[in-house]
Parts: sequence; structure tokens; C-alpha cells
Amino acid sequence: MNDIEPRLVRCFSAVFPGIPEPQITNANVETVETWDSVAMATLVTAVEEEFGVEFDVDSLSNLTSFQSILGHLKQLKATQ
Amino acid sequence: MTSDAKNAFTFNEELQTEFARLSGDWNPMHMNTASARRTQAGRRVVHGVHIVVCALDYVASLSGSLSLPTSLGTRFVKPVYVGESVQFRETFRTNSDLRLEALVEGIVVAEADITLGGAHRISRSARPEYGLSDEPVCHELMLEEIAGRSGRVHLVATEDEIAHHFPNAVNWLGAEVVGGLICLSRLVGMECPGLHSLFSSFTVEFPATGTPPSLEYRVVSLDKRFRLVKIEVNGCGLRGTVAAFARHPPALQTSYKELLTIVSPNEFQGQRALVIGGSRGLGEFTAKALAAGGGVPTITYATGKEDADRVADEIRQSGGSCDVMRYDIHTQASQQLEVLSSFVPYLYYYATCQIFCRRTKRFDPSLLEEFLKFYVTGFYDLCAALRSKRENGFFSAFYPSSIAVADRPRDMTEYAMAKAAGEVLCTDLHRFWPGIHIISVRLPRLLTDQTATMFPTETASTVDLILPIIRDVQSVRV
Repeated sequence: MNDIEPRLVRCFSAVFPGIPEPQITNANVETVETWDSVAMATLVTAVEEEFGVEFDVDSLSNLTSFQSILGHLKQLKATQ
Repeated sequence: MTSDAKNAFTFNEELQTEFARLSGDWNPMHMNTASARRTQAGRRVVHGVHIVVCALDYVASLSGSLSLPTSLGTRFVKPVYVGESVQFRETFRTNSDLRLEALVEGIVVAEADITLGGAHRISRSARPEYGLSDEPVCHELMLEEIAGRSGRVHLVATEDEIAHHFPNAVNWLGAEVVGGLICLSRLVGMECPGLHSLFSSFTVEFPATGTPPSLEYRVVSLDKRFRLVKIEVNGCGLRGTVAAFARHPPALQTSYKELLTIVSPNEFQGQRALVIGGSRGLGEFTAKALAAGGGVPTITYATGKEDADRVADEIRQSGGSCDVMRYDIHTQASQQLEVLSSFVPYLYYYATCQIFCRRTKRFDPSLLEEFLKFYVTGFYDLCAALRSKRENGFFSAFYPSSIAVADRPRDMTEYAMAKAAGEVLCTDLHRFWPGIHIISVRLPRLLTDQTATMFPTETASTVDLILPIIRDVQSVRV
């Protein structure tokens, strides 16, 4: 459970290599230039692959920041 | 490629065609202006693999002593439009870890990570089959047809042609590998997902053991939520995975036949309306709805004549009336309206340029200027021309504004500013030009080519939203 954040940072780092690592935990759709619909799809699939989870389509529109994805992941892992 | 300055390459028209010929990737998003305007990019884009191979050629030209790569991972971040200049930036993170970036006006459009340290040139079990010319067929596949699909892509170019265009890359990697990379473009653009594809990324290794002489592929996963396709490839000296999106086809509006069941047959009987931008999207819907109610729309196009003719044919084939004319907001309105046989008292103004485009700065004055031309100056010129054509100057119009004016989504600053200015213009024309009735509504996201996205997004119902507006506009007695 404790390694969720660093693993998520690695996913973000792979999809958004332009974000300096210390800033990744503050990343959100408003501030990351390359966070468009294509990047979002790539990010979600990368995170799902890394954590062995699947995000419900309805939840996707709320996943607009590192922190919101982290929170959602923690919830999913807790119920697994 | 042409070199504008040190390390700046312009992907011009000639190179675009040449790469299509070399790769066999003639996908309309690269080669056909009318089709490309209906994609999310809105214009023809450079083949992503072309940029990558040029970047490899560039980095190989810097040093003749680069060790062989063992893997290459590439991601296409933003579209590059035909005619744009791209700069390459190389960073050696370690002796064996090379990062290559392609940039347009300082914005990364593609990136590649290369692991160096390969000891051997690829040894092949079979000689690659260069120069296999076959009919270029751009497959239009349904999602169901993509799942599990497999096949083979041949090298279209000859070994000499590949070496002629990318001499440094060939010297470094060998013609087979460069040819194999070029094949990836054809795989995605023509074979699978084919016509409605968007190349996202690829990761390949360069195995020392032989690979098949042509590129064999197999779809290994399809994520229907995002229409994301993962394809395993093996051949021409490389082995790895390709990720591509199966884009939605251009947005389909409600059919004329369906509208005949929704609109009362005589609702707009004999009413003539000018629908600017009626060749697709909301303009197409408006024209069909008017015609379904007995109205006589004249739809205009700026570049999409084929689309405009398609809409008019659909209406006429089911007994409706529809005229087509070319109208360009960059040309004087009064002059263009002269072709109309009689006065048109109803106006729908859907003229637009590409709304979502690759940005290089937070606020772009030239983008604002372009939006203002479409949403303010163009509308004013047309209203003034229509007004001057009639003694009493009366007409009724619809000006579509956007919820972006209030909601202010990211990257839409200039668009929101121009639409806000358009609203002000509408209000003042309404106030100070007697007899002119203008309805301006802030529309939410509706299904059009411009609002298409890979991400599942809800759109409002065009019938529920636009039909009442049409009824309001047409109810004004002019």
C-alpha cells in the first residue's frame, strides 16, 4: 500500500516526461500542457497495467490530477 | 528534408508525398486536405514516423561512432502540420541512454528514448523484401474487426531509396531497420487501425537474431473505452509493440430521414435560410432540419465542397430542397451574396476555424486575431451585407456562442474572448439596427468533428438543443 505513490509517480513520469519529478505530485490537467485526451487515455492504461486495476468509465472524468488518481487508486486497492 | 538553419527541418509538401510513397502510408489525414479537416488535428499532419526517422538520421549525422541501439521507445505527443519546421534536441543521459526530442516552436511534439550498446548488426534469416509495390488500400475497420487482427506489411521502398532519403540513419541502423520503422507508419495508417487511426507510440527492440523479411503484426489488446489498440510487431529487423488509437469516424449528424419524423412537414414551409458552414456539424443539422420542415436552406462551404454536396444530395434524394454555394469569410460578403437568386431573410452563422489546435503559448495574439475574424468581423460583414440587400433591412439570425465564455476551459482563452466579443456585437446589432433579430446562445459541447475526443465525453443532444433555436429564429416575421 505504501508504494502506491512512488509507483504512480513512475507512471506519470513515463507519460509526461517533461514534468520534473518533484512537481509530479502537484500535476493536474490544468497545468500540464500535454495532458490532453490522448495522454489521459495513455496514462489511465499505464496506471491500470501497473496496479492491476480497471477504472470505471464514469470515474474517469474526475481523475484530473495526480492526487485524485492517487486517492482513487487507494480506494480501489483497499477494496481489493 | 530541407535544413532551414542548423538543426531545423521543414516537412514540406514534397517531403510529405515522398514519405507517403516510401512508406505506402497514404492515409487521408496526411494526404487529403478535405478529409484531414474532419479529424481532430483539423489539417494534414506529418507522418509521425517520418519525424522519428529524420531525428534518427539527424543524430546519426552528428557522430559516425554511435554504438548500435538495442531498443527504441517513441511517443507522438502533438501533431505537426505539413509545412512546419521541426527542431531536434538530443540528450545523452548516460553513455547508453540517449533521448531525442522533436520540437515545434519550443514545444515537444515527439520524443524517443534509445538504449545504445548493441554489439551486432542484425543478422537476418531471410533477405528483406524491398520494393514490393502493391495497391495502397486504406482499411476502414470497425472495432470488432480490429480485435485479434493480424497480417503482414511489406516494404514498399527499395533499399536504395531508403538509403537515399535517410543516409545517416541507414549507415547507423541498416536499411532493413529503417525500412522496418517506415513500415510501422503504413501498418497504423493503412492496415490497422487504418483510416481512422492515430499513432500514439511504439517500443521496439533490435534483436540480434533474424526477424521475418516483412513486418508481421498481431493485435494483442483493444481497450474499447479509449479505442486504444496494442499491436505486436515482428519483422524487418525489429520486434516490439505499437500503440494506436482507432479514432471515431467524422461525427455523423441526425439523418434527414430521421428529421422528417421529428420536424412537422410544413413548419418552415418556403422559408429561405442561409446556413454558413452548412457542410458538416451543426450547420449540416440545421440545413436538414429546415429542409425537413419545408424550408429552403442554402448551405455554404469554404473548403468542404464534397461534404456540402453530400448534405444537399441527402436532402434532395428524400424530396427536400437545398442549395449549395461557396462562401469564404475572408472575402467581401456583399460580393459573395450576389449569386443568391433572391433575398434570404434567415441566417445561421456556423463559420469556424480549427478550435482545438496545438498551442505553443498560453496566449497567442495571432490565434485571437483568427478567431475574431471568424466570430466577429466575418459575422458583422455578413450582417451588414444582408441588411444592405433589403429595403427594410429586416432579417433573423442565429449566432452560436459557447459555454467556454463562462466556463473557460484550458487552452480556450482566445476562443472564449472572441466568442464573448461576438456576443457583444450581437447585442449591439440587435439594439441599434432596427428590424434585426439575433439569437445568441451559449452552446454546450455538442457532437461535431471539432469536439471529437479519444476520451469518453458526454455531449448534449443536438436535436433537443438546436431544433428549438431554429424554431425561434424562423418564427420571426421578416
